[in-house]
Amino acid sequence: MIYKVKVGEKNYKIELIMESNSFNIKLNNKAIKIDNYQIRAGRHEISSTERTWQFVTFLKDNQPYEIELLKDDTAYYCWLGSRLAQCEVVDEKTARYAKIMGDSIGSGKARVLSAPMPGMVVGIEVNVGQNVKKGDGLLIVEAMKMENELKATHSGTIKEIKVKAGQSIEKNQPLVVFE
Amino acid sequence: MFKKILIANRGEIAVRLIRACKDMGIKSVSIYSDADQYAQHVRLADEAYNVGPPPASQSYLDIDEIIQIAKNSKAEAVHPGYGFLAENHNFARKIEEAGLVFIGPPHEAIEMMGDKMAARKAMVKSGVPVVPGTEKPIDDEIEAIDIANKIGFPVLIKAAAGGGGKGMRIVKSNGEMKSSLRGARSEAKSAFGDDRIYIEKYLESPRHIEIQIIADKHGNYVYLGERECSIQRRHQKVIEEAPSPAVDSTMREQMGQAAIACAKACKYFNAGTIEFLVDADLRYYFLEMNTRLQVEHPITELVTGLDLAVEQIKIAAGEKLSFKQDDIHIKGHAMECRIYAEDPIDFLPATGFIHRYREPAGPGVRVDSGVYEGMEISMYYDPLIAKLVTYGKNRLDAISKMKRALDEYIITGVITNITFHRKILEHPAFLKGELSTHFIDEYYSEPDGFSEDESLAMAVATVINDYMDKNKASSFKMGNGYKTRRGSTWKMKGRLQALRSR
Repeated sequence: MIYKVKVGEKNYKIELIMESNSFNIKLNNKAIKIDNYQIRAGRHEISSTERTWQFVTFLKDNQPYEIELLKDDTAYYCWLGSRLAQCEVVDEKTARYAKIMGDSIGSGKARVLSAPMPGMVVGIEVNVGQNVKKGDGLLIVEAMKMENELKATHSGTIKEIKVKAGQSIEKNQPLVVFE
Repeated sequence: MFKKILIANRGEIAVRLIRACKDMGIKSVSIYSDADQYAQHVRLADEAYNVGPPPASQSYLDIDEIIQIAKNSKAEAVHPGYGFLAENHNFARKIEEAGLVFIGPPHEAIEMMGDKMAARKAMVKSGVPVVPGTEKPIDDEIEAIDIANKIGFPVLIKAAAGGGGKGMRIVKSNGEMKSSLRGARSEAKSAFGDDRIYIEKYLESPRHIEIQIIADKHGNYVYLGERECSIQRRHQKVIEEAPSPAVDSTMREQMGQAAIACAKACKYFNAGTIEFLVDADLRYYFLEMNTRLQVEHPITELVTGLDLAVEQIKIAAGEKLSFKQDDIHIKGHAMECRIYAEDPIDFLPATGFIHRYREPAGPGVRVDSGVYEGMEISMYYDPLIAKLVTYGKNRLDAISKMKRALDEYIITGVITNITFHRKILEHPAFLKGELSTHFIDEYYSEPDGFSEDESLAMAVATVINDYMDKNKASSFKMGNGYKTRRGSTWKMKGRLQALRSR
């Protein structure tokens, strides 16, 4: 099976063949040597939140790697050391099907400003209908006792402000919608 | 000596202080909010008591409740750590009134140094140089602009009750004054309950160098050398080192004497820090005094061989200092990187659960931390995860060890500034010791991405995982935590062996 993988901004075509209980992995027809592949499952349950992940260690061409893989609906989150990358993987069969359905890997982002962290909205600096330039201050959010100004990520007109001053917000909660 | 001490704090500093108690054979009492039930400082203490709900104002800042717990648990002394109530003179006074000992300076000294304007006045009187600025709190924008034009832009707006960069703004022109004043005031109000603001001349590329002093209740004062804390973001220190690459022994002695004059001016005892700004010509100006143990105290401990937390406890118990100024010799070089849960590019705080956690170790590495696997980094408290400290025979040795330690440090589940530190440590200006509080603005660029090999390794791991996930029905199930492993350990084992002998 051939897989298309996107790691951050990089794209790979990787072939994986299962041969008599062993894996054969190739990148552009060149074999990649994988040894000592070990998987451990990880799980935390705190309050009502449950998280599971796979922790894998292996040698790739004799170089050691430790990677933690978390899967959500659309992507993998890979921790390598203490660094995070987002990965998307799709096998060619699924990719072809997705193409017919008009869906593609890494589709465009909606023009919405979402909360980069949980906190509390302490000030709103713009109004609905206002034109803003990229970099203009939109909202002030207090988190960890610090005030942080959230700035416009692109120029445009404010269509909707989905929060009020004094309101607590969650990470990734939509705050401002652009036209 | 005390038999039992209550530690009125959380996180890494609470753990640090529990360790000092254990080293001295003293029992420790922890307090914890509902958000910290499983925290490290709860597990390591001899006793732990709930102090209230998650918001600090209802738990770690609840003076009466904390004193009640101290009394009920029969603690004889209270250590405030840093942050929270550490520089609250009412807390120190109330502890003494309750018949307990406050492990820190006299409450009068906290009050005087806590009022940044009163402190400035006292320093001028003692002949310690200060940065030009206002003597009184400013009322409005017009007055602020007037003063700023007199001393010259850029100026720094600061909270009179301030500290830790909260309520602080740089103002470069008249036009910026109004919004900066408003922002600084509201931040000061929420952080300190005091919105008085004053103005100082903003020095262009200063170094931040501070002197650690220690004094007993018998009038003995000793300075323990300097710490350079110029690497700051959002006016908060992130990398500190001792000694400073800019300070020679003559300057150290001069600054040390100035620091002691400062401590004497407020009849200080216990550990304290006098912060100075140092300009390009190595002239130093009093900035403020921190009347507590500093976050970065370990680097002084490493280069002097003293345990400052232990010394604090001995001083509070009435003991005389066991050393004199002549006994203090700075040996080797120490560096500290503050490991924060924050984005390494825009420095916004990050939250989440820690999945995996592995601390670095080996020669010359010390980690002061208070976290564990499965812990939630919540928005309620300071996002400091750990202080990573290295010690080497000289500055480059300490830097090499720090790079090694940063590479070994594994924290997943929460974004940290580990890559930020790695990037700073590699910068030629940093290696040359050319530091200033504007270092990050001038030199920092975002950390390098993954190498080709690293990206490919992640791609391969993702493909294998995806394959196993899709073929789980036929062989075994992945991705369902411990349940799966218990259910099909043999199958799992077999599959892994097959992979290994590929």
